Amino acid sequence: VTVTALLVSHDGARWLPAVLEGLSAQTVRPDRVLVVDTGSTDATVDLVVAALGPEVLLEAPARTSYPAAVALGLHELGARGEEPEWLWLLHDDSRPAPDALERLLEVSAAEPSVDILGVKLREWPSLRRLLEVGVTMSGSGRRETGLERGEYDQGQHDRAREVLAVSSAGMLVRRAVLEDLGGFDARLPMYGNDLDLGWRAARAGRRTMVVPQAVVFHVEAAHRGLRRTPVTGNHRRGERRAALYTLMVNCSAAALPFVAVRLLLGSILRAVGLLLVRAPREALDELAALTSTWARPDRVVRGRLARRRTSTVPARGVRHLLAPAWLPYRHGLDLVSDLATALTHQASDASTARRSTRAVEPGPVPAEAEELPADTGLVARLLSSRSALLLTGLVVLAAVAARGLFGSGVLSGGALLPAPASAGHWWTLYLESWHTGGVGSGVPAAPYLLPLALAATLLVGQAALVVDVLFLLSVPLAAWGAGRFLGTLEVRGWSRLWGAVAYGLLPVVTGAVAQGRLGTVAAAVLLPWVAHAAVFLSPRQERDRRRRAAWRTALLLAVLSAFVPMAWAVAVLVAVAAVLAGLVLDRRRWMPTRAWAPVAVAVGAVPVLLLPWSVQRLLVGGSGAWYAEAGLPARDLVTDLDVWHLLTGRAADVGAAPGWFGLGITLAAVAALARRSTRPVVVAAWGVVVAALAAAVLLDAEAAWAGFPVLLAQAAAIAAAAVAGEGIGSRLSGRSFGWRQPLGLVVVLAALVSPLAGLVWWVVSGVDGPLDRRAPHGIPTYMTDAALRDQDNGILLVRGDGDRLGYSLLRGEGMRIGDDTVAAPDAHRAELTEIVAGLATAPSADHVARLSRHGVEFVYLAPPADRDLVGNLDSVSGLSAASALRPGARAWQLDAEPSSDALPPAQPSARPWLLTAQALAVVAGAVLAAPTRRAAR
Amino acid sequence: VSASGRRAARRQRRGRDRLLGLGAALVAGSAALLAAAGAVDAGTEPLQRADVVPVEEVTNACAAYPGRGTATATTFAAAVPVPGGSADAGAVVAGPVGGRFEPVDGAGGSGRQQLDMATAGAARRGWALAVTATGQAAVGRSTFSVDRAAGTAALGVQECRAPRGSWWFTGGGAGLDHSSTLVVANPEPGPAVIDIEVHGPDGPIDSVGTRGITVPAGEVRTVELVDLAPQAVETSVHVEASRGRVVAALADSLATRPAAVPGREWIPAQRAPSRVLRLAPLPARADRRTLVLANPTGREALADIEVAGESGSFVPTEVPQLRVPPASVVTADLGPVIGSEAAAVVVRSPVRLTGTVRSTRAADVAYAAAAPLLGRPAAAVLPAGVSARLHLTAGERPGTARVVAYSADGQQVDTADLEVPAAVTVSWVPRESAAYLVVTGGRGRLFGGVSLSGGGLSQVPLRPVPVTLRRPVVTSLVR
Repeated sequence: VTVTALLVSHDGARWLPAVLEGLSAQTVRPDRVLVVDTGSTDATVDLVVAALGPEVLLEAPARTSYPAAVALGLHELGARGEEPEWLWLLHDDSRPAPDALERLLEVSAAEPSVDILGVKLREWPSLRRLLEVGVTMSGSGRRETGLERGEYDQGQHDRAREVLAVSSAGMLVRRAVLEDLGGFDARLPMYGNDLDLGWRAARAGRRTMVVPQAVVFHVEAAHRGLRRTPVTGNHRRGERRAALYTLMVNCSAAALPFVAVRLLLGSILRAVGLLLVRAPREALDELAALTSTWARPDRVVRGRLARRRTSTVPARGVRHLLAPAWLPYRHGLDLVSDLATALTHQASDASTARRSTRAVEPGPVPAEAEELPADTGLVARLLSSRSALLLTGLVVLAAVAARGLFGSGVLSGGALLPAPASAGHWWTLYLESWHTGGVGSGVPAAPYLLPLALAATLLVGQAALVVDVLFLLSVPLAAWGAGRFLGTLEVRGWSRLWGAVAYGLLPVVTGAVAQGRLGTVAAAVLLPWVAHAAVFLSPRQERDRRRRAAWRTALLLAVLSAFVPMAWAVAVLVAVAAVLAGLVLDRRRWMPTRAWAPVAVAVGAVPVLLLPWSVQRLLVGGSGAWYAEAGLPARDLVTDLDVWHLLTGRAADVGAAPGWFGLGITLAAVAALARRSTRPVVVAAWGVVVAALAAAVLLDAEAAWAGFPVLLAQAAAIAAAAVAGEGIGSRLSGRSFGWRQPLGLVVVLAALVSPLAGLVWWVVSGVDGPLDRRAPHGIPTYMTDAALRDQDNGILLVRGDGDRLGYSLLRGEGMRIGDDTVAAPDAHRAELTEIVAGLATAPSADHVARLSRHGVEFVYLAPPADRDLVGNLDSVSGLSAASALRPGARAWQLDAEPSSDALPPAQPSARPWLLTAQALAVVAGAVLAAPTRRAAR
Repeated sequence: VSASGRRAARRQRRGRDRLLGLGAALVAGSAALLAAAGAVDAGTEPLQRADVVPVEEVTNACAAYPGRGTATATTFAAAVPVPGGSADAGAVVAGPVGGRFEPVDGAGGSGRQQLDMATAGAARRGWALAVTATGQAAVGRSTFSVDRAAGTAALGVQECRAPRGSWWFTGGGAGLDHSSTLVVANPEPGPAVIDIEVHGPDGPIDSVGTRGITVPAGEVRTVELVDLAPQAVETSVHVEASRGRVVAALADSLATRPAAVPGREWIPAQRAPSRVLRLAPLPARADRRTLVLANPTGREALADIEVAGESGSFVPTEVPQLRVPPASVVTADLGPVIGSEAAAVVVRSPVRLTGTVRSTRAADVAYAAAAPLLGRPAAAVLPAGVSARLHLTAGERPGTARVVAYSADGQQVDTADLEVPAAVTVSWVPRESAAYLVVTGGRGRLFGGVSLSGGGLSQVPLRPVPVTLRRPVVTSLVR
C-alpha cells in the first residue's frame, strides 16, 4: 500500500510547524509527502523546505484554489511517474494525531470497498471539542455534522460508519477514484468542495467512510475567518454559495425545480430571520449568495452535466446518506427556543450581574453541607423565594377579594364595557378603516386594542379572559412588576417587599378596579416594566445595553401610552427634565449625543409605534384625545380631586379605599429625602411625583379621570420610600440614641400601616363598586341575531329618564370594549340624535320613517323604560310592540323595511398604510430591543 | 489629608447639598400642585338641561255621558306667552274618536268655541269627542264638556284630557243609589292594552276580564263598575295602559236621597297616588261632604286631615286622622267639620294615596279631586247660565295669583290680582259675561278650582294648560 500525503498550504506558518511535526510523528508514515504552496508570503515555504527538503515543494500562484492545488499535486505525481494507491489530503492548519494514518489504513485494509476515508476532526487549539465526524447536507443546504455545538469528544461518536462526505482535512482517498471523479469541483474554490466530492463519489457508486479512531486537529482557519487569501473572500457568503451550488448540482433532475424554489424561498426566509435577530450582515451574505448562484445558471448546468458523466447510482440511492427532511425544521425550532431563552435571560441578566458583583462571604459552612447539591426543585425554590411566596399569597388574596366577581357573565360596569366574545372583534376593529357599527364611522380605533387583541389571541381568543386577568389579578401582577423594578434599584429584603405590596395595592386602593378603569389598571401592571427598562437608560450602563433598553422602553412605553395617552406626555416631561438635570449636575457625562440619544429614542419612538392613532387621532383630535384613557369616560364616577385625594393617592371617592391609609406613603417619601446615600434616586422619584401631580391637576381641571397620574405619583413616592428604606432597621438601631430614632420609627410605622391597612380593606370589602359580573346585555337575542345577520337590522338602544336620554345604535351584540373608541363623532350622529329627541318629545310617523332609513329595525328601551317615551312610541304609527323579555324594558319593531339610505358611505383612509408602517416599526423596535446574538460558532 | 482630598470632599458635600436643595424644591413643587388641585374647580360639565319647546299638537278627548241629556264641548286657547312660539297659526279639528274630524270654525283665533256633542255625534254610550289642535292653536288649548241631565238639575263638567298611560279615580260606586261607568277612549293611531284595578272598602276586588283589555285605535270601551265590583259602595279605579295611551273618564251617578233622580258628575282623575293630596275646590254650600281616600299600596296609611277654610286652616277634631288599610277605600264625613264656607282639604300621609271630596247639594253631586299647584297658567271653563266662583287656597305661606276672565269672544272682561293668606281659601266671583278664566300663580304655592252652581253642582280643578314640552337632552350612550 502506497500513500502520498498531499499538503496544501497558504500562509500557514502559524500552524505549519505543528502540522509538520504531526506528520513526522506518524506511526505509519506516508511513503511520500507533496506540499503544494499557493503563493505563501510568510515563512511557510522556508518551514516546509527546512523540514522536508525542497523536493517536496510545489509552488503555485497565489490565486490557486484548493481544487486546483489538489489537481496540480495529482498532475505533479503523474509527471514524476508516481502512482500511489492512496492520497492523504492535509491542510496547513490540520495536525494529525500520531496514529491517524495508521488507523485509516487499518480500516482501508479491512474494508477494501471503501474509496474515501475521513478522520474525526477536533478543534485546535482546544483539542477536545469535536468539529466533524463525517458530514452530510440538509435540504436547506446546511452542513450537518450531527454534533451539538461545542460538543466534547468523549468517544460518543466513535463508530466507523458510512457517510455522505468527510472533510478534506485528513481525507484518505484512492488516487484513482479522485482522478476518475475529476478531483474537487473547481467551481467550489474554497468551501464545501469536500461535501460535493463525497456526494459525487456516492453517486458514482463509491463508498465514503469516517474513521473516528483517526483524529486530526483542525483550526478551520478559512471558515473562522482567520485566514484571508485571494480565494477565501467573505467566508459566510462563500459557504452559502457553495451549499446552494452543491445542492442544485447534485440533486436529481426531477427534484431540481423544487430544490431551486425551496432554496430561493428558504434563503429569503433566512435573510428575514437573520434581520429579526439583528444580524443584517449575515442576511446580506445570504442574499448575496443567493443572487450570485441564481445569476449564473450556466454554472449549475455545467456542473450537472459534469456529474452526469460520473454518476452511476440514481439520486435516491444516496438519500440515506443525506440529512433527514425534518432536520431544518428542528433547527428552526431550536433557534426559536434559543431566542426565547435569550429573551428571558435578558430580563434576568441584570439581576445575575448584580448577584455576581455582590460580595459573597458565605461564612463557615459544614463540609458535608457544601458537598450537597443545591436544591433547585420547584417547590424548594418557591418556598425559599420571598417574592414567589408573596406572589402566591397575593394571588390567593386576590381570589378572596374577587369573590363577588366570579360566576357567569362578563365583567363590566362603571367605565368598563363588556369584553367581546373573541379576539377577532378587536382585530377587526383595529385593522378596519371604516367601521360599520352605529351610523358608520372612520374614527381610528384606539391603539390599546392591539395589545388587547394580541393578549386575547395568546389566550386562545378568550377576550374576556384578558379583562378578567387584568382586573382580578391586577394586585399580584402589579406587585410582581414592582418587585422586579425595585430589584433593579438594589432594593431588597423587607423594603422591597413593602414597596411591592404597597404598589400592588394601588389599582384597588385608588378605586381604578372598582370603577372598571381599564386604562389605569393596565397601566398599573405595565408601569413597573417601563420603569424597569428605563433604569438601563442611565449613561452608567454599557452601550449595547443602553441601546437595547432604549427600544425596550420605547416599546413598553408605547403599550402603556396606548392605554393611557397621558403617560407619553408625562414621560416626555420626565425625560426632558432628566436630561436637563443630568446636564446641570454632570455635564461631562451627559454632553455627548450618545449619552442622551437613548432617552430621546425611548420617548421619541412612541408616536411611530402607535402610528395610525398618533397621526389620525392624537394630532387632530384635540386635547380630548390626551385625556381619554382606555375605557369609557364615566364622568359621573369622577371626583373633583382635592389636596387630600392627591396626598393620599385616591383618584376618586367611588370604589377607593379610605384616604388615611395612603398618608404613610407620602410621609415616608418626604422622609426619604433625609437619607444621603440614596438621595439621587429619591430626588429623581420626586421629579416623577411632580410631573405626575401636574398631569393630575391638568386632568382634574378638565373633570377627567386622573387615575393614572395619581397612581404614578404614588408609585414614585413608593419607589423613593423603598429605596431609602433599604436596611432602615439596622440603620436606626445602629445609631446612638437621639431624636432620629423615635421620628424614624414613627415614619416606618406609618409607612407599614399603609399597605397593611390597604390589604385588609381590599380583602374584607372585596371589589365594591360599579364593576360587576353580569350578562353582557339585556337586548333580546332575536334582535341581536337579526342585527348580526344583516347590518341594516340595527337596534336603537335608548336608556335614561325624561330629562336625559342616551342612545346607541347597535349592529350586532351590544357595545363591547373598543366599540366606544370608534363611535362616530357627534356631528355625524346629529340626525339620529334629532330623531330620538323628536320621538321623545312629539313623535311622528316621519321620525319612524327616517329611523328606518338609518338601518334601524328595532327600538329597545332599557329598563326602567321612560314612561313618556314608552307612551310616545306606543302611540306613533310605524312601530309595533315587540318582545323585550326583561321586566321594565320595552321594545318595538319598525314596520318599514330598514335600509341604509341615510347612512354615510365608507370613506377612503390612509389607515392600511399607516398600519403597515406601524407593523414595521414594531418589528424593528422588537428586533432592536432583542438581546444581542452571539455568533453561532 | 492632602489639599486635593479636601477639595474633593468639599465638592462632594456641595453636590449633596445641591441634591437636597433640588429635593426640597421638588417637594415644595408637589405641595404647590396639591394646592393647585384644591383650588382648581373640577368644572364638572354643567349638566345640559332639558330643552323647553312650544307644544305643537294637543289632542284632548272626552267621553259622552252615558245617560240622557245634553252635552256641549267648549274649547278655547288661553292667551299665554310662548317661548319661541310656533310660527304656524295651526288649526283645530274635532270629531268622534275613530271618526271623521271636521275643522272647528273660528278656532284659529281667540275666544272659545262650542261644539254640540249631541249633534256632533248623537251622544251615546261608547262615544267620545276628540279635539286636536296643532301649531299656535295648540298652545294653551283647553277643552271641557258640560253635561246637563234631562229633566233634573244635574250638572257634570268634564275636563277633556290628553291620552296618557295611568288614570286614578276615587269615589265611584256600584250600589243601588250610586253607580259609575268607566269610559276608556283611544284617540291615538296605535292600539292600547289596559288593565283595570278596582279597590273597595274591603280591599282589592278581583273580577274576570279586567286585565289585558285591548282598546284598538279610535275605539271607546265602556265598563260598568257594577260589573267589576258589585255592591262596592265606595271604590277607587285605576286604569293602567301596559301598551299605548288612552283617555279614561269615570262617569258617576249618585242619588242624594233614596229613590231620588240621581245627580251626575265626572270624577276628576288623579295622575298618580301622592303623599300630599290637595283636594279642591269645595263649594261653599253643600248638604253633605264626604272625604273618600283610597290606599292602593300594600301598607297601611295614617292620613292627617287638614282643612283650609276661609278664615284659616284647622285640623278637624272629629277626624284628625284617618286610618286607611292597605288596598282599600275609606270614607269620612266632613260635613259638620267644614260647614258653609269655601274650603280645601289637605291630606298628608306617609303612604301614597288617592282621594276626593264628594259634595252633594239638593239632587246633584260634585267631586273635588287632587288639584295641582299653580305655576304655569291654568284655565277653567265658565259655562253659561251657571254661577261660578273661583277658590284659591294657599299653602303654608301666603301666595298671589293673577286672574284674567275672558268673554266668549276672547276679550278680557275682568282681571284680579288675588292675595291669598297662608292656609286660607279665598273666593273670587268673575263677571257673568266671563266664559273662561286663566289663573297664573305668582308667589307662594296656590291651588284651587272653580266651583259651579245653578242648575246643578260641579267643580273644575285648575290645571295648567299645555304651553311647552320638555325635550330631553339626547346624547350618545358612548360619549
